Amino acid sequence: MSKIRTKVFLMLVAMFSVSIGCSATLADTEAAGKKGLSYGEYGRPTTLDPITSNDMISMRITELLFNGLVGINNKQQIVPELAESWEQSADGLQYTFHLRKDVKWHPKAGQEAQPFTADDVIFTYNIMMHPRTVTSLKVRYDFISEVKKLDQNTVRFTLKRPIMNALPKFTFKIIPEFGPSNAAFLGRDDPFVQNPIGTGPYRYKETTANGEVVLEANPDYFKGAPKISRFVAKPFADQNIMNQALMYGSIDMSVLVNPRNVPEIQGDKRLRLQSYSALSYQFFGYNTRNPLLADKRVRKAFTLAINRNEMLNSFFNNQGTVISGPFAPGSWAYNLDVKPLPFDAAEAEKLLVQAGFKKGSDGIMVKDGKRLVLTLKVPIAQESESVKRVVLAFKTYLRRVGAEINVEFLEWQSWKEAVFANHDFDIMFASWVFDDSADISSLFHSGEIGAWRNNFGGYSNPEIDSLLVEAKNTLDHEKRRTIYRKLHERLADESPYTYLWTLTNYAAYDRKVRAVQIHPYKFFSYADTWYIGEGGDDKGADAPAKATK
Amino acid sequence: MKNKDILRITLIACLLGLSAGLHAADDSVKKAGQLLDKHYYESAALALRSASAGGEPTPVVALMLARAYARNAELYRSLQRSSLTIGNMYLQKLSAQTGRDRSLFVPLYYGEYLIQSGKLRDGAAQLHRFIEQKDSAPTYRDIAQAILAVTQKAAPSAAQSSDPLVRSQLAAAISLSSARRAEAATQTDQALAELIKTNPILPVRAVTNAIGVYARSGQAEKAFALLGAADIGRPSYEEAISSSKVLRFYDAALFGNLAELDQAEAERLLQRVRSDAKYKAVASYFLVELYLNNEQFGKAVALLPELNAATDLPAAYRDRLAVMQAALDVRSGKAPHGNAEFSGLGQKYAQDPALLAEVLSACVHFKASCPGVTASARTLAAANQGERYRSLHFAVGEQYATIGKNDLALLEMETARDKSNKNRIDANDPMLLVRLADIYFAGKSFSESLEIYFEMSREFPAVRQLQETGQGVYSTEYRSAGDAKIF
Repeated sequence: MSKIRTKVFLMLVAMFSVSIGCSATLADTEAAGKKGLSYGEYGRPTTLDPITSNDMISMRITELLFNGLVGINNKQQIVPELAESWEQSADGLQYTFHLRKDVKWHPKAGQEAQPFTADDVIFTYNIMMHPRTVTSLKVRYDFISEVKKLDQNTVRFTLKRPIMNALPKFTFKIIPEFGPSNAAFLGRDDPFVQNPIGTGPYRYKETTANGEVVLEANPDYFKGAPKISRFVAKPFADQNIMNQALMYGSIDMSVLVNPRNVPEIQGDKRLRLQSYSALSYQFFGYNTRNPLLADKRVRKAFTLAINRNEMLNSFFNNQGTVISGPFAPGSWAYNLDVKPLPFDAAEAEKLLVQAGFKKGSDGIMVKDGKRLVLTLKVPIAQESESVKRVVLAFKTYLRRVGAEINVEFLEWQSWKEAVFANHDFDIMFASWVFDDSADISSLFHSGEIGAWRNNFGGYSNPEIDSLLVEAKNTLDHEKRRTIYRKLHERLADESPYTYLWTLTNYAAYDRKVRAVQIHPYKFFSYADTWYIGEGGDDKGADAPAKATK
Repeated sequence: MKNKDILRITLIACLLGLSAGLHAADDSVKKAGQLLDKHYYESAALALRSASAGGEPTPVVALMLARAYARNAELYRSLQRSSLTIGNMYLQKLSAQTGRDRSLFVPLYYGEYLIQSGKLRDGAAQLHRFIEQKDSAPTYRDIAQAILAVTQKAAPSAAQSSDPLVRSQLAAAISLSSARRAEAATQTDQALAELIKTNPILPVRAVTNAIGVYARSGQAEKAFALLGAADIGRPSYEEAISSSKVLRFYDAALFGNLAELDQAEAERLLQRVRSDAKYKAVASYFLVELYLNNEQFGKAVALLPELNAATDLPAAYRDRLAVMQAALDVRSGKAPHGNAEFSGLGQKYAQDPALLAEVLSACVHFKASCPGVTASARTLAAANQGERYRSLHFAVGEQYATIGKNDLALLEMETARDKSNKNRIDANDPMLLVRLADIYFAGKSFSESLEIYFEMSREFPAVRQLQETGQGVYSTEYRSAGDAKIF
């Protein structure tokens, strides 16, 4: 029986390999060696550097390759990384970092490893803030007025104004001055973004023809050589196949378990499930540049037209929570007073009529001669069975109120270019993941409209801009909470997105991987202390490790 | 002694030859049984009360109702502990704020939280601070005085104020004296009648006070009617310091009063059922459990002789009675004997995950010394997982938590959790979820806690106070850069 199952599985893997051009084979895993760890991803990383990447797949890899000046441990404490100590001026305007002297960059093939210095810090900040650098990070660092090298191992950042939680901002990853081919700005065509050099516990080795990203342990890591010899990120376009790969031992870890597979994995004694990243949600985002979607009544009508509870129940076994606005329910910023809009198709049609639409003879709404026909772009990395059902249900629901939705599934990179670079879409489907700060300014501030920026929908509203700035500038936590409550309320009404739900994200891994702690957002932050055990029970050994960073 | 209440009552009723009462139960009762089994205690109680509207419930319905209230009381006591921990953290942070935008009301609410936590002197100091502020509103100054009277063991008079909200607070204070409970209830009736004349939505503070007063004076029906009409998820007070800074405060006594109400009603119902000879043993069994969980050891001990002598209690419940007996011995000055009993029970049930979990859980809650039980439970849990072993993993996790090993406690409790429905109370024991939320919060994994509370608040609206205060702590404690990424 097990042989038959194995054959079926291998057949599935083979089919999968043909269909998307990458594979996850048993032979690969054997080659990875006993002390290596291969993990399943739901897509390929777009870039491997910490500046141009803006997706989770890339970030998980950059977390293994790079370090920041400071880190945050699992007790929410700021701890040294590339900076061994720091001082803050009494007025909160200057932060001086004393850098470690024993850190070296990963060596280029055939070359000596170069030392990490203050020049790298200055370089990283400058290239990150360059107008032509492709990054969504600028908005987070516009509070810095100057960065100055005091000596080879000391840098000082001067702030424009004191800000709340300034120190954690210096977790941004440092890249080497000698890394990018263009020293002024970083684009996605720079070879560095595919051949990164960092200071972290793992070094980039190669990306195979199958799209697997192979990282090797850095024996000279300044915190000590990591215990797992290498990490291999294996892309899977289908979560079910990824699940099968985990069940059959072809991979050691899956970063995202399909909700439908949770009971099966929970029942398998070899595997452990761990939830993480409570602060994420799925949504349909609207391109407000399209005149048909510029009116909030149309966007709101779309939200009213779909039965989110029914969809969550049918497609995700009710393993999540329908949300009412731009935060996840586990966030400190979620406004509990705002309830999700109900499913009300009649009200949706009424709103469309109020917005100037009339139903045509074919049932499609028309305004000023333009039919309400829109294109929905969905990344192929999201093309799991559940997501397909969600977008098809969305299409069906909207057809009932007179909107025709044409669904296009695009390969991950093409989807990102269409949505983030070219803004060539009407509606997009995606998920946001936030760290604890629940900072939505890059999503909705009008200053964040532009290529490769997070306000891909071109949403612009002076009131929202003003609230975002006020929240950013205050040093009073309760004032910021109040402003965020208002933002939640206003953005629920404005509906730049149809906010769907937050899902429980589970990673699963083989119990032979020990001392596993998963950072709820960055995932691999503590992976340098993980190790592979052989046999026996992992109880206790698997307890979260003490703060190490 | 956790779940499967309806099954347990059905089993006992059948064994006692009382199944006719269950067969006769109408749809509402069956539905209530299902709700109870899925931990929807509030909804189950509501359905059972509706089923008995206009008359006293039948003994079987009364037993089910008592079980719903007993479970609710236990859960509310647990939530009260969580609420006081988080509320104190939040208010302490607010209390440290100075300057123009500081709050006037923090000392009042911080004082109340400290007093509810048993820190009378610190609480009184905060209340004095509030009273001495020149800008404090007179009504709330008088409220602070009424609360202070409790800490000073003074005997306030409810007639001291013309303000009905103040009188409701004074009534709550005097209801703590058993001799004056009827007077407190009358004063509460009057205060509520007066308040409702000016605003049909009663202040949450008045509702909280009234629940406590009615629970203590044996007028539970009035309290339930009040709860049915009130939104206890609302804040007790909203302080608008400016248009962009609004603070929300919640009553420290709310969960405690809800627990007291449900405990009192469960006791009343079980005592009534106990008067019927056919149901006496069952009702006595649940009464002992009820008293034990509320640390009313004297009352529990008093019932044991007749319960031990009862011949109509099923064997499975004799086992559990032995666990309760051991716990009572530990807490009644016979610790060596109780510890030995626990040790024997641990050996007897070393391979029975459900009973071993109950033995270990009782050891932990009643502070018995049970090294043998702990070792057996850990061994059995280490070798097994799955639904049958969930209560055992929970008990082992609790044991780890009491010795400060929260990392291991989380591992065990996560094994006890239904991952397919990780925050849902219909799939998980709510007590497990509350403990998980506590441990995650203590470890600063705030979002994990808030997700649990978010789901729980759907059935228990009072949980809103944990959500709001938890958000308040989270917003000041997190450390992160402000990142957002496409998944």
